[in-house]
Parts: sequence; structure tokens; C-alpha cells
Amino acid sequence: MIGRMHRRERERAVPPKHVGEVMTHDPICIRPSASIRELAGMLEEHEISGVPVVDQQGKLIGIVGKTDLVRRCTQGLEELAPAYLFEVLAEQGADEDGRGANGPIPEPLIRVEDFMNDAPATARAGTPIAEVARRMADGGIHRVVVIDEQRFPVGIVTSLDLVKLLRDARG
Amino acid sequence: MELTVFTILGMRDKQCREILTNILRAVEGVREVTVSPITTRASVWHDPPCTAPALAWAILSLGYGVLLAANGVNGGRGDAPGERA
Repeated sequence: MIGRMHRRERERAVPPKHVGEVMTHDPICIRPSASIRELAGMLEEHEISGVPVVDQQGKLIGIVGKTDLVRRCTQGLEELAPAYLFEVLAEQGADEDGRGANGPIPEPLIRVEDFMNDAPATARAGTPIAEVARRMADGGIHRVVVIDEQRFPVGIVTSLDLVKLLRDARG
Repeated sequence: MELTVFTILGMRDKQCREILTNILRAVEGVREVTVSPITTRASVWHDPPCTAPALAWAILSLGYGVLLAANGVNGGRGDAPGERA
């Protein structure tokens, strides 16, 4: 019987064609001056793997992800002078009771701007999904920031979004 | 397997615990991590190439202070949470 199509069936019959149809709207963003710990807290709290970095006006200037964070925290040790860590440990353990300083912990020196990717992949809401998918696959890119004409982030598309799209297309 | 225990300075809450746990687990060679905001201690069981300075560096990179509380070789037996009898 030829009858009315349910909304879900109609949506399946007409797969999305443009990035704006599959992106996550209004992505959470971070400032370049945010500390590495703020970034880690943000990723943890929102259960996300990366965020666009925006300037004071809110315009996109970079992108930073969990992989960048982990790399920044686990590499670079070999670049330090061998005695550096021992000096740090000795300074922090200077209290008489041996339990370490109870005073304020100095602000971390590492900021998001120090290790963000300052050439993020971008697209417009009207960009064809196939084009973005090809760029992501060719460039090994996991997330693309969708921006408007003034470079304000309006959405974000991840590789997982495209995998879900493929799943839905196959029913 | 080696056990290294750190006292963490600046750890406040559950979120700090999650952040530290995730970073320490990402260090190559780390097998198990337990972090307690109550005792402010992080216990890390690890194999080479992971070293205590590498773990301290990861903690310091996040802006926490760190004290080496204990460090020793347990011969691959026993102490990791998943290995307890």
C-alpha cells in the first residue's frame, strides 16, 4: 500500500548533503590563554575530544584536542636538563614535615596557545559532506570546524559524525 | 613491574582525579593507575620505558605539584589493583 511516509522514513529517503545538516551546532570553544589543566577539565566535563580555539572576539584561531594534550604532557622530558625535575621536586618538598608546600600552587606555564593547531580544517555549512569527508580522509583529520563568513565557529563535524551518517544510510 | 607513588599538590576534586588518571594512563608503559583526592596520592604501576621522572613530568605539565612519595620494584607481583588475590 502506498501511504504516508513517516518522518524518519522521509529523512532516510533524503540523506543529508551538506555539512550544516550533520554538524554539532554551537560548539564549546576555549581561549588560547586557558591553561592546559582548564582544557583537560573541559574535555573531561563535556566528554568531548577536541575544541575550537577562539580569540577575544570569538573568531576561530585554532583547534586543540585530547591527542595534543596527551602529547604535550608525555613528551618533551628529554629536552629538559636532567637536574630540572629534581630541583622542582626539592623545592616543592621543602617543608619541614616533608609533606610538601600547602600554599598556592603556581599557575601552570603551559597554555593552550602553546600547543594548539593554529591551522584548523574548516568548512562552511553549505559545503558538501562528500567534499569534507574526502579532505578528512586524505589529510588524516578527525574534526572540521564549521565557520561563518566572519570566521565565527557555528558548528563542528567529527569523523564519528560521518561514520554515523554511513551507518544511518545503510539502515 | 614498578610501583611509584606521588603526592599531588593542588588536587581538589573528582575532576582532578579523572584528569590525572587519564594523563598518567596515557604514558607509555603505564599498567595501572589509582588516584585519590582524599589522600592526594597517585599510585602508578608501570613497566619500561616508563620512569618516575616521566610520570612526574606529565603531572607537572598539567600544573599540579608533585612529590615523590615512594618508588620501588615489586618484581611484577602483587601490588597492582587488578592483581590482588
